[in-house]
Amino acid sequence: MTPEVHLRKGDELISLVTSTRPARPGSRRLRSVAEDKGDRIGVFICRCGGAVSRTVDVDSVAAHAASLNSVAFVKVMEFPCSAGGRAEILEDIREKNLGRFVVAGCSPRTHEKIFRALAAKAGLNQSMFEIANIREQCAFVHVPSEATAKAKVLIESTASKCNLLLPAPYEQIPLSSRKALVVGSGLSAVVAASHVSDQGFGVILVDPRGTSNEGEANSIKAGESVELFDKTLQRLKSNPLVRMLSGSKVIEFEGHPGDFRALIQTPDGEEDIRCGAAILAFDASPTHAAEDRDRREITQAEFGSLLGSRVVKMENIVMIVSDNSSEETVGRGNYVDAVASSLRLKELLPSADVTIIGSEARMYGLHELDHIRAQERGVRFIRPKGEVDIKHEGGLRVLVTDASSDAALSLPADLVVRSDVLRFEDAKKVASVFKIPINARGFFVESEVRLEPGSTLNRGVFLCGSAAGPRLVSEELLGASTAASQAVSLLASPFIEAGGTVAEVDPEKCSVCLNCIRICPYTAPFINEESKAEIDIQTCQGCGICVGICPSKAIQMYGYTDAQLFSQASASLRGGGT
Amino acid sequence: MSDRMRIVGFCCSHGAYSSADLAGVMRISYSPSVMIIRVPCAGRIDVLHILRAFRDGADAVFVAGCLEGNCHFEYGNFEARKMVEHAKRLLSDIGIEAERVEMFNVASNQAWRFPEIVGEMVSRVDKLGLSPLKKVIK
Repeated sequence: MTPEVHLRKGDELISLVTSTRPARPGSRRLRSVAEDKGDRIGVFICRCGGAVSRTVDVDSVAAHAASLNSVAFVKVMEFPCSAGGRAEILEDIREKNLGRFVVAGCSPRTHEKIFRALAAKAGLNQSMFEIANIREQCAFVHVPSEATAKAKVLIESTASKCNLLLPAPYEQIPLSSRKALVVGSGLSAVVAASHVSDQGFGVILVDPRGTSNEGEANSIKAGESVELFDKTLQRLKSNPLVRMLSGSKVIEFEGHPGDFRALIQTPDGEEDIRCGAAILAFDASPTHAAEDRDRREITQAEFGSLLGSRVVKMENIVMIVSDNSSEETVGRGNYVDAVASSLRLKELLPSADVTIIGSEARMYGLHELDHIRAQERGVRFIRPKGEVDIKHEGGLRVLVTDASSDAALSLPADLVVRSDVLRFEDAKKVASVFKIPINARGFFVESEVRLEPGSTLNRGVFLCGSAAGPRLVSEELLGASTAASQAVSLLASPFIEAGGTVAEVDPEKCSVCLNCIRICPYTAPFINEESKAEIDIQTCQGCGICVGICPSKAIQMYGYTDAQLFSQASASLRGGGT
Repeated sequence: MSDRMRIVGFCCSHGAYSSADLAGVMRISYSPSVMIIRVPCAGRIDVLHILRAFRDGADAVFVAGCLEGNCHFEYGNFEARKMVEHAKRLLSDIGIEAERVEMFNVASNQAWRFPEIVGEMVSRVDKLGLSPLKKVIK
């Protein structure tokens, strides 16, 4: 797999550092990171119903924990994560006046949320606890004697980190706008806009191509999607929640989820709008073929409009389907498109002789029925061996070797129809306005295709449409509703949660080298009015890459400061007693 | 300082740390000499963390992030690899074998991979012997 790394440089970097924003008050808490607050630490050790205590001698581990200087209270429990266990911890925190605590048990991957809520309930900052993983990473993988010794070290090192924890900022920020900005002209855009407005949220639909050109937008697709497009568009036009800005484009976009500002260039001048979320619903469109090509060689899109005009007189049609894996930006539905247009041709002109040449018959799902139908109507399918050549002298002839029979064929053709090459022309411009990466093939990049489809690295900006990758019409529709539901779940939330394990800059150490701005995948750092780097806590996702890279060591991160990690590593090397 | 082998593994929460959790759930055992330090992303690691671990008596240090091209934070694992390469150069400059530090890439569903990484680092230490710095650390 070729990794797609998008680092900001040149103009993009300059545009990021030249806009000034005021410094956020009170953002200098991490400066004294090594300070020991002398809080009392409580250690709660989980037996896990025997899952831990069968292998680990929890009493001996508890005795070791109690011997640690920083630990004020130790308790062995059956299930600290259960409702009863949590109530018990809550009581102990209050009674013993604990300032922070360590839970030794399950993985933080599964149980961090539970104990974060507990810390909050106990009146502590949500980040004032640590989990020592003595279950998955100790009891389950080591023999008893080793597991007990290791559990001691794990608790000791976790406690030493816990001792240095600092209260992290947790903020609940109200949404300033509950409208969605939808940008795009095709099917994806209108469908996404209608999903959002159907759920009662306002939509501003910015349509760069102008909705009057709706026919053109989908000439490539099968007939029903054009109908769906028209119907949806009519519904949007009569919906008071939807505002349409035709022939417009977004030239500036900034802000946070729930509070974005977009500058839109409309035919009547510039307009400033606010929105809570944005959906980029661009569809990649077929590129125009070169001017000097043979007029008898056309693309599927052109053939589609030819079929639409219903004046097809050609008898011999050869379609060449390009392989999906080819270098060019091709559609996912090449084969589907070819079969669909062959069927439409057969309807208009049953005597037509159609040949489809393609190495991979990719007919997804129920499209396979079309494949069978086309075979029944006499469409010829050839799997080529080697190159497909076209002889231009006199009548057009397609030269191909059939892979199954090894026969060299010379097919007469009135028309050769090739697969569309899809490209999204403005990708680079749009990507830089919305601060999202594009990949080597010119598509927008979703940040997490499997876990959060439709999301981008810029939180609050969602993606759908074939500009996010080659898609079939059915997938475009699915993508549009995915992006719409993601946007709606953001717009419907009572507030935006920000903060937690975020990074913070010490302005006194910052040398304004811009490394953090260059490296951040989320454009969280910016240069504030005091000419120092600052990290926006609403945008920061807590990866800590800027913390590692900062040459002045001016950036630290809640929950993972250098001091905490040094102390945890050091204790895990020295700790464990005898 | 005891003469026990100790290996520090800085593990990214999304890939390697989860892989170690899964190894646990599947009861795939590995050497207890490995000490896992959880980090949000391998990119959080600075060369300082690696060097200080050696100063504190580690016999080997590894950083494990998500698979390349699959980093939860886009490219943190590439930044981590740069740090590890830098640490290798610094260590060999002061006469400590560069093989004592390594960068790995693990996906959270590769349960077998984490024990394999630990095995690899343990066998490296077996071959090289305990860290020469151990003698000077009290």
